[in-house]
Amino acid sequence: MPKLSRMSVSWVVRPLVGVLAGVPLGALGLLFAVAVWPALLVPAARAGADRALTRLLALERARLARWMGHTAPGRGGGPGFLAAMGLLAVLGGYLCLNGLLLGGLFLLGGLWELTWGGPEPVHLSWPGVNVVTHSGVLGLLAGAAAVAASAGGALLLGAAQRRLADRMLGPSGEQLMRRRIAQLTATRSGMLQAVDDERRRIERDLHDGVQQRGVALAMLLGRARHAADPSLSGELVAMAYVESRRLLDELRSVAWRIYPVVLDELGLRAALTGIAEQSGTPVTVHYRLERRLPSEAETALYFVAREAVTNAVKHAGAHDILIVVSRDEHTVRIAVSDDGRGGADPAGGGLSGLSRRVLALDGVLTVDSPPGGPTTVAAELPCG
Amino acid sequence: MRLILADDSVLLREGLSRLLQDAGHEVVAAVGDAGALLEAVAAERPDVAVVDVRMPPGHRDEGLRAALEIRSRWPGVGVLVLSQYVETTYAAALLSGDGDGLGYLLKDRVSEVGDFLASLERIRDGGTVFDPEVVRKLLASTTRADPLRRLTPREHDVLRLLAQGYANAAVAERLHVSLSTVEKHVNAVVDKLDLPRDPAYSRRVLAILRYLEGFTG
Repeated sequence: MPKLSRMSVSWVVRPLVGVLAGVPLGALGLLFAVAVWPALLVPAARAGADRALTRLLALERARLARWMGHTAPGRGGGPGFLAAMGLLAVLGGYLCLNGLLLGGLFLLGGLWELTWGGPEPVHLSWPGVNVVTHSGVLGLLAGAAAVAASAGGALLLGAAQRRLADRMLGPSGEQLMRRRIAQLTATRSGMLQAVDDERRRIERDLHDGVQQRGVALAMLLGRARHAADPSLSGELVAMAYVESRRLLDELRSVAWRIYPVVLDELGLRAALTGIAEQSGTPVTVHYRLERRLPSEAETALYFVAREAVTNAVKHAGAHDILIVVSRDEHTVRIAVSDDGRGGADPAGGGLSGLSRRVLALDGVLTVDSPPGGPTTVAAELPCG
Repeated sequence: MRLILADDSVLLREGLSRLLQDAGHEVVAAVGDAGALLEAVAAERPDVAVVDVRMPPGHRDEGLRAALEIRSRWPGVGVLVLSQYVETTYAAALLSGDGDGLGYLLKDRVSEVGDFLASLERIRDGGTVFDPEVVRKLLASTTRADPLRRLTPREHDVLRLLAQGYANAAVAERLHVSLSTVEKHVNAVVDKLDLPRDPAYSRRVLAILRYLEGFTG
């Protein structure tokens, strides 16, 4: 059989061999599903049945990988798969096998006729066709047709078996890769979109806050300089001074909104505490991590917390907010819950941008915010 | 004069109103979006409407579009468009009509109170006022660079001020030269750039700006 696989026609021979090999294996699988599977119910026989199941599944996987080009890295599959595959493999394989046998007989018969048999003319008479031919030629033609049909059938059956394996054993390595590529493409463009959205927000922050205050300040000073009355001009200068303090406050808060430096310097715990301190509403922080996370993870979690807190205060009218950061073996999780009136829109500007950021780190952002509240915004990121 | 202010920032509306009232003008309405602006202009027919380019709901160019509508529906109302950034595209949109009673300034200019008030008066009187920054950009980006190179540095200065909308007397004052000297320079500029010799002052400004824009008009 390995010899066959090296032939140039291997693309049709391989699935054919695979299909044929599937017949006995399928029969075994069917037998297992019918006879041994119920034994799983008997505690004493369970270990043996489990072993048989594992072995049969391994054989099926090997067959699929060797002859059908299907590698399933997943660990799916069970008696149900064996039964379904067995049925498909036995029935389909049986048909293919018969087709091959029939074709072989025709071919042999035709050859025999041509070499040793006396030529027997055969009259073919169909509407529009009237031919006198040779029984040997006819036999060869019929044989070739049967073999070709079997090969085609084997290809189809192979495809069907791969489909079944995809569905029940889990996707193949190639499929997984394709999915991953599609996911990476999507999150990459999502990330760019998130960057652009953030820039738009920063521009709005600067335009609506800093620049307006700057113009207002310049206007006050302009009026002061233009005022004829010294007492009025003194008053305007005093107002300008107050305005300049406000401008500086605004500038500081915009800079903070763009990126809180404390995140780099002192880490997520300190940055979250900062959110709690700055918020007018009570915010409790439970931080249960021992070590610091990679910077991009800390940043993502920080922005999730800040957006959720801002929304809770601004839109949900919350009185009490709880931030919990925890981790298990594979994931780190932040959950921000509030007692506000809910109704947060996951597709809204802030949350959707955050979702893109989290997705780019292979994480998930979930927003649970029924009308009337309460709201929980949670992000999970994979880690170490 | 009677004025309408349209700016979505309350802070700026307030500041600007005070500034104008200090100078003895009457602010008949101060609104925060384009729709309210058009209603107020329809009701009050002010001398000049001061309009911020960016206004709700889209925060894009709603103010500019409202300004264009005011100019086409109420030609007697002067329009001063204020913008945080100088966009020659906005300038071009404003220049597509005539330049009578039209202004386009950077928002920061309001702090130069004297100039700002003078600009408003020029607009009320049917003049044209363009921000030096717009003119600078047009001069830098114009495709008509060759004829410009034939101007002397002094003629260049004169052209810059003419494009901003200053009349000959004001140009003379700014450059500290006599009126007749300015007139001589103006003639030289008009000749070298092949501009129409139009007696109407705002049309001359418009012609210069269109020339710099690369318009054929």
